[in-house]
Amino acid sequence: MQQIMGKIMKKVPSGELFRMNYKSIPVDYEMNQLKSINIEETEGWALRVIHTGKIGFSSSTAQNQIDRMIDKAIEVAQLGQTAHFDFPERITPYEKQEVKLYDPSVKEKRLEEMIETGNMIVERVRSINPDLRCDTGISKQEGNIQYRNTYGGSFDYQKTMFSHSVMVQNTMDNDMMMLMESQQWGSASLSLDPLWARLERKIKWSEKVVGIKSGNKPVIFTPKALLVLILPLISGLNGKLVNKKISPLQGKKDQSLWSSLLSLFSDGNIDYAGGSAPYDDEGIKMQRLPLIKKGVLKNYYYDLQSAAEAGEETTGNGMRSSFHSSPSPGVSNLIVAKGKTSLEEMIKDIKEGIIIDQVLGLGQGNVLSGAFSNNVQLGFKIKNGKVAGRIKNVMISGNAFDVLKDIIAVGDEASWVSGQHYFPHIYVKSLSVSTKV
Amino acid sequence: MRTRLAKALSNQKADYLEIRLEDYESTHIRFQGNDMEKISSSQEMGGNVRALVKGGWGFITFNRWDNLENKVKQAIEIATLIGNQKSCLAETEPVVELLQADCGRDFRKIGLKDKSAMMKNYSNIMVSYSSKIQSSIADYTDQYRTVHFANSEGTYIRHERPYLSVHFTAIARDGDDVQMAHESTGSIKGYDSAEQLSSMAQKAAQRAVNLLKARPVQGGEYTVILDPVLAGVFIHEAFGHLSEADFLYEDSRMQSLMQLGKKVSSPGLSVVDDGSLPGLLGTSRYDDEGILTRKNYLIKKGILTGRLHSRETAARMGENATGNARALNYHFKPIVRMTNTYIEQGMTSYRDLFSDIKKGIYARHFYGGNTTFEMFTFSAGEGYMIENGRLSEPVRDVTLSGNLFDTLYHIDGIGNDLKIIESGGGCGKNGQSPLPVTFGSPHIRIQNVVVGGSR
Repeated sequence: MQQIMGKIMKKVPSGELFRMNYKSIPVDYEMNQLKSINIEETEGWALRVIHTGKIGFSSSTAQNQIDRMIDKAIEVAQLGQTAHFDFPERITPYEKQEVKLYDPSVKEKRLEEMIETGNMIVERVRSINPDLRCDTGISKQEGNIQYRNTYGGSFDYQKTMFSHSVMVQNTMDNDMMMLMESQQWGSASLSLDPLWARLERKIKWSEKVVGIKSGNKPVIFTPKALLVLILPLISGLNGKLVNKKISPLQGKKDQSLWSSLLSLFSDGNIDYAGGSAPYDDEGIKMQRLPLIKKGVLKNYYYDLQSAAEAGEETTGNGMRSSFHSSPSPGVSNLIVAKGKTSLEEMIKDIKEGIIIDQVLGLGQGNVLSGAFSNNVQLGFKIKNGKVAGRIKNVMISGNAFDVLKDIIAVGDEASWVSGQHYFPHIYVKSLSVSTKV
Repeated sequence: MRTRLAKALSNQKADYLEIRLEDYESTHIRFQGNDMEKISSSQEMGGNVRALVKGGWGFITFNRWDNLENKVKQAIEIATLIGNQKSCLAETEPVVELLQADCGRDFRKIGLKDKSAMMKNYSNIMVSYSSKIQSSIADYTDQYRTVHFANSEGTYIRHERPYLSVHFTAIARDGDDVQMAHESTGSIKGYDSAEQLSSMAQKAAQRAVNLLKARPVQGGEYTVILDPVLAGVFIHEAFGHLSEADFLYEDSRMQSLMQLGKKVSSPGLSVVDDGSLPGLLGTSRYDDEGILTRKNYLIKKGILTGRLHSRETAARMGENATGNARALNYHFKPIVRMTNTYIEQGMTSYRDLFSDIKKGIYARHFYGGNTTFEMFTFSAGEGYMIENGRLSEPVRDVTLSGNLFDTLYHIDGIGNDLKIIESGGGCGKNGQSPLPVTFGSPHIRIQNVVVGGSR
């Protein structure tokens, strides 16, 4: 990389080179059978330059294209956005023990072991009910990130990820039940027990299909479904959208907007979580950033450019969705603070209401405005403090910014969703529920 | 290249092997409001090897094109770990063909300055449309891809695939109320299709501003008329995906639900998927397994008549390959996908569709759609109440949802104004998104649709 940096410095005084490479090995089962094994290797290079005050960006998969990348980035910069920042001169070295990201046992996991786990999962699902169809995947990944800039700023780190996903399906006549659970973690030692507990409970709740009438009803969102309410917050708190004045949350810092039971953090320092890293993708230390504290909007999140535009400090949220995209504000791990109420207590409290576990059409409407309208792909009816069965053909809708004002209780346990969201159950007062009569 | 690939595939122990090598270059420009937000140029090389051994698939992806023989061996090795039955692929004649892109002006020959000036102009049209327009996004992507495909049966296809898309998002704001509207187009026909989109940009702005005036729809059950865009999304999402044989072929229960010859809809409905229609986004001479694309009837006059196959699903179900195995790019295996999917033209005029509706909704455009087998949901980008056969006030946040099998029977009016839509988005399945497809339909009327909304 040093040689390449030399080449860059000859042509442009200010630039950063980002390299990522990773290897993933997913083992996939379909319809109760081992179906495929992939070995996926990806390598990518990204170059961002500031040339005569403007930003240029180019990317490539091939190291031998570096000369072309430099020329392209400079060409692009002539038309590019004005840079309000410069690349960091000093990047504080990180100590491996600060945040754990790499577990050698992931790399050492043999294919045969992964197949054994897959077989075990299929057998266990089928032992609950032999009519169930099970698709499962076990996957391991290791990645390397390298960063250098023309001022001598640099960092490197390695990261591992191990994941299990289970899809259970039951088809009867014109009815289909589909249930998905997964877990992702940087270490291979995570127990599958919590996943089984969730899966078995929901299979049991699903056995009977029950009707429900349209109306406004209390609703419990499971951790998996909570993104329905959190997604509008993620886009509304994005510093770039705030700067552009298109976020409805713009100008509302330090205002109390939601229930005091709601606290939300972006935290990149959690051992082995999917969104963790010592630095964001611009070399800024990741932090635990309070976004909402007891219902009060505390912070927007920024990358270098959007922070400079706003006259703020970056929050270490400069993220690249792949090596082909330049950094923009993004969240690391999202944490919703736990509350004091158990799921059982929430259910007991409801005379008639629903539990929402999976929805269709997440993020499909006008997310920015907070509006959501989703088909409940997997949901359960609560009748007189007990789960009565599975509901079908039901839609929920509302505005997340309003719904979050009326939280009755927050769960006392939280679980990781897709390795990056640590969410509890959330029980809200009332939501519009529409269904076929 | 052909010799190089043939060499890597020769003398290997597998039931079937294929290699795909790809390179592409692409440009991306994005304006937010009148400001350049992003401009980038990227270049990518990669490939994959897929091996079939005793019914098990091994799949390797990579960026470096060296040591192909070793990569083939590695793919065979992992396929062997899985294989425990007889391999099964639909028969096909090997083909050797070099396919040139048939596109008007090559966007690679247009300078970044010209592309950027064009997009800036579109941005300006949106932003200056009204003082209510808070911001806008104008997004341009072009990509020129060359794909080399070879398999162990002697097929070699080199395919040049240009692709271009333009997206407009207009964001209107009135106090805390923020509304958005999207318009987009995609094309395989070169740079010409990116020009002259001024009226499309204006339409995005107009729709966003109009949404500020619309009230949220009241939830409930309605008679709904869908415009060709939304009807096209509906047939793609709700029905098209169910016709993809990869989730049927091992599932006897799903097969009985989707048995050919079964009556599945009202008698006027016919649905087609056709990857051979000239010049459309979902069009290609061959699919990504080297099978010729063709016109496939999925529903003919209310009867389930066909489904979409890869070579494996066709063979396993004892049916013919249909040319529907498609891969987004070299990172992915070809899986069963749609191409250009549409509802065939009916006889009813637009006016007659509305005439006897007492209270209903006219739903137009789309934000997005989603499905899990029998259940679907899709959101309209624009909506109007219908009262006594006439359009009345505008409504918003219209999301339609239901059970496919019920809904197909509830289609009781099919217009005579078929339109195929080339949007800039695409279809997503198993992480492969956005795959270029088109969808289309005439206006259709559906009874008893659940619409989510306030109560």
